[in-house]
Amino acid sequence: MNVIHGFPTVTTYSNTTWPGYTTFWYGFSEMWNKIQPSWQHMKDYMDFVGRNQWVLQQGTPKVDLAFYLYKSAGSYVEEYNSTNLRDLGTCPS
Amino acid sequence: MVFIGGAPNQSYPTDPKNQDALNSAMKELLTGPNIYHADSVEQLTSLLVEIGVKPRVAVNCSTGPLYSMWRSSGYTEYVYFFNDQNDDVACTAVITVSGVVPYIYNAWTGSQSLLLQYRATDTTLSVPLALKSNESVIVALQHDATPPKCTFPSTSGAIQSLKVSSGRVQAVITGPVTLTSFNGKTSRFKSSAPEPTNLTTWDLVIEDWHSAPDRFAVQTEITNHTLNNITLIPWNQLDASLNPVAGIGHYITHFTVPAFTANSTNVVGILKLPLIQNTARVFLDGEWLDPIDPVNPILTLQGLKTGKEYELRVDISTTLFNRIKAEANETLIVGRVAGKEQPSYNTRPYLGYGLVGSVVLEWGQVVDVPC
Repeated sequence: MNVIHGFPTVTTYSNTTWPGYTTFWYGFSEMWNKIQPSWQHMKDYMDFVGRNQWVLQQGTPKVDLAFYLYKSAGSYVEEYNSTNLRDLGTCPS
Repeated sequence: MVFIGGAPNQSYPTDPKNQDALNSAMKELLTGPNIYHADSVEQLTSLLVEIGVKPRVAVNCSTGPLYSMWRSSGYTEYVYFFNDQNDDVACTAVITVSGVVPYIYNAWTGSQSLLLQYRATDTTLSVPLALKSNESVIVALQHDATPPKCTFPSTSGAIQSLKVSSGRVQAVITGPVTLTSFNGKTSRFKSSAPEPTNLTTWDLVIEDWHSAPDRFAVQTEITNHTLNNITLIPWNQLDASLNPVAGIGHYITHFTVPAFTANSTNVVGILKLPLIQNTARVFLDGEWLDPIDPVNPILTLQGLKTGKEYELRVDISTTLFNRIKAEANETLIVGRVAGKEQPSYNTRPYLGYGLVGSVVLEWGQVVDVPC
């Protein structure tokens, strides 16, 4: 799922100056609306995301290996701390 | 199924009856067919090799994170590749599939192009992969599609693209190339294109986005700054007074298509931009061209005429960081001061906005390739 975050109002807001309402008091970037200069190019990037998302939601996934990482269901626990599978994905000789 | 480390051994409820039932079930499970055990994750790879489990998509580009994702819709198999690292990669991907026709789906433009450069066996498809850092590509494998009349398992040299157009196989070449078709026919081409053109001098109009005089009105006003005959360095290196400026930069230059050593009526220009910092769009004689991948910003300019002058415009956007940094103590969100809430406005220097780096036009021509 992709979320445009934050996407605040471009109207005036209590005790708030240009560039307008900004979530988390400038703690995080960016705000996405027409006050952001790149907004006028945004269709290019949203279409790119949309096309990729369409492909990645087609049919059913085919996976080589499925992992049951039971420890990380309720907390942040790294259970597979190796790149050996990535290294194994080489072309068959 | 592979158990790594210990198998589950604690029942719930924790009474003897349930514990016995669990012990019995696990003993039966662990001795069943296709059930394996490895002491640690480090043993998993050798075990997979031993039992013959291989990836559906095998790549030998690098040991870095080059990922693939496979979606199967019945009519089409989609393989999405993403190069999730700082290094570029170039190699062959071997896909375990048969009876399909491969296409490249371009997520930036929406185009769907027959892939002609691949090698097929009864069980696999080998396709070339070349991805810049953070670049992605979609390979679509269509069942029940008409295969191309000609494929080229072996190609070398300066091939920019190889496509079917109006029923003909056409290559865009920028230098000598060799192509060998599936039936063994080898074709060699030399390009009559001149040396690339470096576009080093530009006129620049910067839209400086800032607040209207009444800051609480939340209205954007734009002041233009015009600089002529500039090179492609950051705005604040062109003029230090541009430090607080953020917004849109309109870069304009002109080029004349040089003569080719031999007559060529199918001239193309391969426009290579530097890495795009934020967003960009390109216009040729005022016409907007295709969306650009910021990590591989290359556009093909088609149908050019030698001797003709063209106007090239590149629009780039910036974030608002520099402007807010300059006015951080006057910028409020529900009464809270941006400069006090976000230390970065004090600690980070002004950013070097702009179209920064080299812009090169590489010249090429379209040739018909026999099968």
